[in-house]
Amino acid sequence: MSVTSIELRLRVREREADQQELENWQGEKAPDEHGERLAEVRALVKKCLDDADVDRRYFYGAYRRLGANRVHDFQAFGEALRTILTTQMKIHALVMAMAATGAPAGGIDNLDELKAVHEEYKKWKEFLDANWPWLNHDRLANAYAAMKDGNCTSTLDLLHELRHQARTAGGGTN
Amino acid sequence: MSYDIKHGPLVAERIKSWDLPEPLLAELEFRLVEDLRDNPARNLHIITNDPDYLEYSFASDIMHGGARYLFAFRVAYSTDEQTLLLLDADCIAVPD
Repeated sequence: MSVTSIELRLRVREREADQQELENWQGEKAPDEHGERLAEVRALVKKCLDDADVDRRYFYGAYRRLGANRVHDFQAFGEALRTILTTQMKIHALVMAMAATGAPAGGIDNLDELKAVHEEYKKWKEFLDANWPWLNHDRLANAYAAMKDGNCTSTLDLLHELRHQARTAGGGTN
Repeated sequence: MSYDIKHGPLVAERIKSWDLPEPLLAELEFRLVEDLRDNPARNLHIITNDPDYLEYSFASDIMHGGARYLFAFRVAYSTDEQTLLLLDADCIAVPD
């Protein structure tokens, strides 16, 4: 199932609110190795892992939507996706810091799983940065400058020429 | 009316760098003619926060290497009102 723009926007708000809440909570609570805080950090780790399942759906769903030609605002869509990933990585860092300072060694069972998920987010973000049709303002400015100098040619002629080259290289299959 | 579709050196460089096989080049050519030449407004989208540019995109019908290819072009109308200028181009493979 592919993800929609509105779903992404709602998810961005939710994650930013989560991050803010965590930052506030971290400032208010004193570390307590055996008490309430340990239970809360455990719950947070579990929530991060559950969120990763949802984000996996968003991430792959976004690419499915691209492949189905159903994204018509690449910038907003890609930026929402990127914000979700970066915000969630900040949440991971906060939770891991809480776990490191407020829990006894081995007190949180699935901390390693959270670290692995965090690495997975990093890879998603790298992939997104490299493989999304982002607007590139430098390229646009250069293109405008070239156009103003009258430096432009027919795109259909270029494609025609490239097709001819490809046919020749491929042994004239068409 | 029918628009000429033109590009600058940067877009030419990018299209060449994709090293597309002939069937995908043929689809690209076909789509530009079908979607942009005669009635571009129908297929151009305004980019949120960057209204100076329009965007045209499509995912290829043709599969290559187990993927469809998403093409995205940033487009502007020329002041001569007869030409569409392709300012930038992106192509990414989207595994099916």
